[in-house]
Amino acid sequence: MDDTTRTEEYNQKAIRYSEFYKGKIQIVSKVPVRRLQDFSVWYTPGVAAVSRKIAENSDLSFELTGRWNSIAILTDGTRVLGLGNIGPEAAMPVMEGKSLIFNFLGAVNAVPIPIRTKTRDEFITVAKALEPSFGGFNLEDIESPKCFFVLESLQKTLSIPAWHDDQLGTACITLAGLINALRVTGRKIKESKIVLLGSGAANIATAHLLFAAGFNEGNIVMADSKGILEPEREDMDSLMLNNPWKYQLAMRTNSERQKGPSEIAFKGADAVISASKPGPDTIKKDWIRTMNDDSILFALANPVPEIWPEAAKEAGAKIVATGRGDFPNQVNNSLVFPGVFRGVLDARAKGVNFDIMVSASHEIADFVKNPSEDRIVPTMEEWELYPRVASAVASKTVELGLARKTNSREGFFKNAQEMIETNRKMYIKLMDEKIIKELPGGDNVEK
Amino acid sequence: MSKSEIKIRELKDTDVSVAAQLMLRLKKLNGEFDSIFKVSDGAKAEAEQILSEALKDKAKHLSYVSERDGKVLGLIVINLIHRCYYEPEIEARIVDFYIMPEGRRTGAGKGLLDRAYKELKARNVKLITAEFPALNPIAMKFYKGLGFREIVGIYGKMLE
Repeated sequence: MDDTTRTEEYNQKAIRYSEFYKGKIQIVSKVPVRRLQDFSVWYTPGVAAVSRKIAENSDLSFELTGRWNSIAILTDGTRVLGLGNIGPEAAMPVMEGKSLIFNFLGAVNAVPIPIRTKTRDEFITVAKALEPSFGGFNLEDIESPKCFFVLESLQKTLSIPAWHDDQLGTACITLAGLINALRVTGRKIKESKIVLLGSGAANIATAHLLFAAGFNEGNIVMADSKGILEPEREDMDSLMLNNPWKYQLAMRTNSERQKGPSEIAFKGADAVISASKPGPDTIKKDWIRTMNDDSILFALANPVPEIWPEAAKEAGAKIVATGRGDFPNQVNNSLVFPGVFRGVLDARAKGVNFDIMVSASHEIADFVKNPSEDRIVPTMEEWELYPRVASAVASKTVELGLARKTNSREGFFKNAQEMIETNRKMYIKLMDEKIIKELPGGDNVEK
Repeated sequence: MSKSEIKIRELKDTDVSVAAQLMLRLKKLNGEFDSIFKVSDGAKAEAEQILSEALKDKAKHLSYVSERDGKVLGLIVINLIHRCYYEPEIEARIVDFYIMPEGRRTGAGKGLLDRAYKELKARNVKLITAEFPALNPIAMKFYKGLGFREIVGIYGKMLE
């Protein structure tokens, strides 16, 4: 089946199933309800005693309510998938899907909350107002550069972690893959020259994460549709006003002060991380030929990578990664966010930062035993990954003094593993009992 | 990246082309704030001409550059204007002041101003002003920080 036919089939099914199930998630009780009198404890009058305790110490909301395991998936619907600004209502199916992955892989209760806001300040106000109900925020599908303002502001002012998956999730799995790609090709982090092609949300975060991971700032070169980022570029003043993050990176990176079209940066590069325009002709074979021997290429655009992996390999790339599951080395956020959130929630974290992310990336990289050119990252079916990432993240949170709750690394691991397993059992049980209804039209038998 | 010392010196004939590029960047920045300052096609040639003329008449124009490792990082051009009706009679007006991104926050800008102040003092000039688009908040903040205040308003509109 070719890509177009397969995509079309997924589309048809998605609509049919959405009509049938009318949403993907629901709230189910986690306490027994044997008779209606039980509500005198779960609800009034008994519940007032619990409220009084929290009123005295609001941090108890993490211990006496479900706040510790609840996050909000916040979006304004301004940059949904590749669909653009389709609004909050239309963003809901995507946010429900994200919530499902959060729950299935990480046992996190993620509440999808698409909001109708216009300005970044409005968004920030709404997010801050929601803080008391949640243990963390996952920002999703917000246009750039608004997403940078919002994330930076929330990380500064909230006392729970704020994560923007399009930035941080992508950066985290990219670093994990890069660490292994450098291992496979016998390179050192400090000495490697890395080109970041595309300077949107993902690569701007990746640049910062590479700094935190010990890469040499000057060895990193960023490029966008206008060419290599460097301080003398014509549009620097415009960037200073409209996208200060990009402007700052133009100063910090590219110590050779390369300038001109993006392909110039490929020359002598060890790795190119492309989060750019969908291909397959965005990156040319000739450009890859100018890279160092055993070069590394991440072509992360969806649905079509900037260059097909086969073509990249013909041109000399030793390791190629894409965003797709039908090629080796899928750089996939879903390997990151369930474990990261399991970890910060288990530590009742006050925040999340690049140092914590570096720990997550190293854990993901180390999870791959004997990495090879076709295996630099784990796959989603490797269940032990999520509690491993969770325990690495939680331990780092403790080390950095950002945790409200401490435990040993082993303790965090066991706790996360048990939660995720118990949660999976619930899915299996509900499906076995057909409380979760079978797929319509006899689709259930399909593998 | 080199962190050599920043030098301040007078503009020379050989700087004109590079300095004109800095002026052009400044004009483009003005355009970012307000479309009424859309840069024209002939702007580059005009900038070079203005700088050349400034070099010819040093009684009426002060111009300095800041440089690091032989590379021009900043430019200031000040016109000395005769004021009718008021005193002091001479006004020093900053008409072009631009620092390349890499020269910002390095003292390159302050160095240029200090040098200009010194010369103005020697010439006994008592009033300094700066001209910039009303919608440029960066310039406004910068000059306010240096003790400047708003003294003239020029209002404009495009005619249909």
